[in-house]
Amino acid sequence: MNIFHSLRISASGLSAERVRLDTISANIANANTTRTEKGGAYRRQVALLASVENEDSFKSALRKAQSNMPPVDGVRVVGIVEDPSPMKMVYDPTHPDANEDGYVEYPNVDIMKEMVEAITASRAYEANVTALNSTKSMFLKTLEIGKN
Amino acid sequence: MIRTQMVDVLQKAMDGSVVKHTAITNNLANVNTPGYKKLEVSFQDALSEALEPQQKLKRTKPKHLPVAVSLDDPNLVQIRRDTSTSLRNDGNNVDVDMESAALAENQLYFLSLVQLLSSELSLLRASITEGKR
Repeated sequence: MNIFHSLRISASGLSAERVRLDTISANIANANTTRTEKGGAYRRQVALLASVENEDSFKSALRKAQSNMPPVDGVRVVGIVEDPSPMKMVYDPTHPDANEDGYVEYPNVDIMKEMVEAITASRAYEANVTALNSTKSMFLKTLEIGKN
Repeated sequence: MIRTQMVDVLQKAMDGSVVKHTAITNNLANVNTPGYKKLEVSFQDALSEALEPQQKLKRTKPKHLPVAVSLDDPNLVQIRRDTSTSLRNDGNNVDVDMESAALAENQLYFLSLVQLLSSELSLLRASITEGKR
């Protein structure tokens, strides 16, 4: 059914934005983590989003034959990668994690940047909620066709 | 099955509206996807063209080029991808404000179509029951 398709697309957007918010929260929580299991300071994580559309798949060909729907399936997180940008080096010789020159490696997390990302992610989440509610109200209205 | 021209037209318009809704939903879901280009759906112009009563040219063979869009034309709903613009540095061209406005507009359009269809059906019911309830 076509209108359920829009609901699934909105749900994929919601889950992708939630994963983004989760990675941003992890970055902010670990903004001062100087040691990790892998050794060294925490590295900033970034969620990679990609749109799901495969024009060649059987499913989309079938859908195209049945109805005139666009061959799209929303968005998904293809992976969470580490930001390769350099770490912040702070001179603090008394710190237990300081290297032989007295510098401590701090995560490459910029709180300002993370806050901006968090706001864009939550706004995008809200936009998807609006779309979902609009789909729902349209669908509920069609159930009233022919009543009284 | 009672099929009037009005019911057919409303059904086509609702189909187009649902396709448009899917495209807008997908655009909104991909608002943060780098490189994503928005989908655009148009059907209202083709629909009003299909409703034009006079047909200027007549097709005598089915392989002739179409001279006017008919209501049963599968290409009544056109989906295209706008690859010409970029709104941000990452190549994404989804404008959330425009998409939200389009979403609200399309929703109201759909709801009014449902309302019209309901009143059309209640007219039919009135004639079936000869005005009695």
